[in-house]
Amino acid sequence: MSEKPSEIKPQWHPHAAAAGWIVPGLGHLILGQKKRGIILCVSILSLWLAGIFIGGISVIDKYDRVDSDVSSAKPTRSWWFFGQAMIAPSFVVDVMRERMAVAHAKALGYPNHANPRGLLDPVSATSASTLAPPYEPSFGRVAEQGILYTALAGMLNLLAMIDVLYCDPNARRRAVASQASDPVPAAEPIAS
Amino acid sequence: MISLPLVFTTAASSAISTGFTLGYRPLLDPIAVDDYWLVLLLPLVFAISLVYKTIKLDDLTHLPRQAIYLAGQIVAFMVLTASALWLMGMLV
Repeated sequence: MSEKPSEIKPQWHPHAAAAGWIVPGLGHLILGQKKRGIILCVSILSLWLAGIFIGGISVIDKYDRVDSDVSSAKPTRSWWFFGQAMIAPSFVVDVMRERMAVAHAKALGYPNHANPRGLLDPVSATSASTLAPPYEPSFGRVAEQGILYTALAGMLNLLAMIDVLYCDPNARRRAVASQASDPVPAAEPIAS
Repeated sequence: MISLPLVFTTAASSAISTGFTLGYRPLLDPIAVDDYWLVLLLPLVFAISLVYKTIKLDDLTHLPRQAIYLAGQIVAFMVLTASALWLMGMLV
């Protein structure tokens, strides 16, 4: 029996979408779509981790990297972070990175520096000759690739969250079952 | 310094200007892939195709084939677009 549109009864699943934001694919796992959830989890998290691996931890920064020099005041917000923020662990990484930068600024004698990430820049840093920086900022193509990977991972996770937010969890199962039970009809015999 | 492949030595190279030597620290420091950035678009395109098809398909039996097919389409379209733009740049 083929699937009729009237049989699909989508419902709201905000808890599944929230779970998918915290761990990509978890929303699908909660709704019983195990294989789909595992594939989404592995692929999205791999993409996100690959971005950090390529560009380093500095690619996840809620402030604009263009302003990251010692002399600048408080930098402006980065639009890329809106994409990266679609995966909750990005916030954890951003807080970790900021704490490392602030601790480094304090160790260098700038306890209240407006832009501690600027002190990590090997070009513009003036007094960073005695302490090793907690991380090295990335620039150019490497930074672009790292930001692109992490932001696209976030946007793909947004798709996955929308997929579970308003759906009928059993619709796909029924569609697959109906395809299996409705094979391609055999050709009619030629009338003699 | 720990002996590491060339791609993992950006930390050390930039540290020369600041007067100390660093080893590569995974996930903290960037890797030197400036010369291979275009190649990095391929896994990105495949990941996008894989996630899109995982969400789109009802039956995941043919997922790998469908994802590779979509990734191929995206790459082919990008190559065609780049070629057209390059040609326009040459003509104008």
